[in-house]
Amino acid sequence: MKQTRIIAWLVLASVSGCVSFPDSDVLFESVVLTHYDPKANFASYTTFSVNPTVSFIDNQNTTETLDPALAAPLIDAAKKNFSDRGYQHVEADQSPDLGVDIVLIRTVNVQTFPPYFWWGWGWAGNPGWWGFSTSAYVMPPGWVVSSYATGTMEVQTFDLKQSRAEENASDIPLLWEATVYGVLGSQSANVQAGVNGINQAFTQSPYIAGPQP
Amino acid sequence: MIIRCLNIVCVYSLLCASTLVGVASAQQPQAVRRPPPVGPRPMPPPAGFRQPPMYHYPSMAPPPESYDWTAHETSHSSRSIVSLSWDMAVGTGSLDDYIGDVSLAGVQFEANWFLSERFALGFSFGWNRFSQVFRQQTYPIENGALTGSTHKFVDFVTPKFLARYHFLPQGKIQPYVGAGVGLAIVSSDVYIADLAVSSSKAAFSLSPEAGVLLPLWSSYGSGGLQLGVRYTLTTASFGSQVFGSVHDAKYLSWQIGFFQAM
Repeated sequence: MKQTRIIAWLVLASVSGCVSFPDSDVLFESVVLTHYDPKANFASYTTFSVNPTVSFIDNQNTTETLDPALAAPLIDAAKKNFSDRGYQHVEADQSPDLGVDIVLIRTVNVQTFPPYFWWGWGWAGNPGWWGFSTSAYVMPPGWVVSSYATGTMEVQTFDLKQSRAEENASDIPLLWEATVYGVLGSQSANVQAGVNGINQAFTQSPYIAGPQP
Repeated sequence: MIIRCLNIVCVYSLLCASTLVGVASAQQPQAVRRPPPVGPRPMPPPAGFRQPPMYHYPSMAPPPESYDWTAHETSHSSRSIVSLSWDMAVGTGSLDDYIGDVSLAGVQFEANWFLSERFALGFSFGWNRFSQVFRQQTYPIENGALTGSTHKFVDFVTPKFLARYHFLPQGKIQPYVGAGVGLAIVSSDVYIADLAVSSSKAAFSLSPEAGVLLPLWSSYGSGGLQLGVRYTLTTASFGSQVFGSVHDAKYLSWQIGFFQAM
């Protein structure tokens, strides 16, 4: 009997001590997802502009925006990365080719996303800010709808050049979107995580290579 | 100095003498005065009764061909052996590419029945978990990319039939070779943030093996330590285009555990 007990304890100890489970701190430490429209030609654009307001999006149709002091590093990171790729920054009233919106997702349960992933492409930000009457963005086909992760930051890039070329444009094509998980905490935005996420989004998007000479 | 040497010589002489006396006395047959038997004298066997042979193997002559091994008290000739082992493993081939860490989470239960002195059939039930964390990896996806820390798991549950041949069933070290044939129920998971990509399937498995039994005790039949190594080949393929895939998963495992003969 004594041997049986020893064996049982040894086996239980060895198995329980070695079984590993997902470490949520590790899994959530930084997740960056990027998508692009495969029809987009990023070399055909020369200028860009970034919306100076970082908006919250939630189920309450809030109009709240992020404190400008917290939003500034995020906006600067987007500007710097586009500039480093060779695009020229202009103001919104100077007819930029690309429009960049940064939004923070808060308590949104439905989202459009590609197969395999449930957070990602296509939440409508603030299209009116770019001077178009439309309220719709166009997403590539094939995406499905599911729940959306709270606390996510999205950097959305729109094709203002094409919308401007079309008379009475009814929509603004989305060209590229970066989704950075876990930027928005329970109390405030983790700005540094957002900046790191924006930098990583550009690192893993080499096709944004600047205008063709 | 001389006195000290003499003392040492004397002490050694006394020790040697006492040892020799002890050995000699141990070799002398000791006269044992047995008490007279108590109770009625045993009846002689009836006519035609044949006394069954009494074996005292291995102190006497080797047992006859018709010796009943299942009635023997030692482990190698017992009717059955059960064992429970800690089973560690490492993937090979595409499984090693998928998860390179050594798996320390595993357990193996076996039960074998001896059909002859050396040959046994049985079954086993095993479980191995392979897991590894990949920090901040970038995975290409359709029209994009994903960067994050992922945690991959693969669980193998392997119910099998076993066949084993024991080379030295009487020895203090009892090596064996064998093979197992059965199922591999494979479950794979990849976690990233709160996303899990999972799959599960059953496949065929074949596992040649070798090992040794080291008898340590003789209570409840007998038992001791079991050491083994096994190579498991399966037809299981799993994974995804994003996080990698495995074709015909294979792994090498080694066991340390205890067996009990009954």
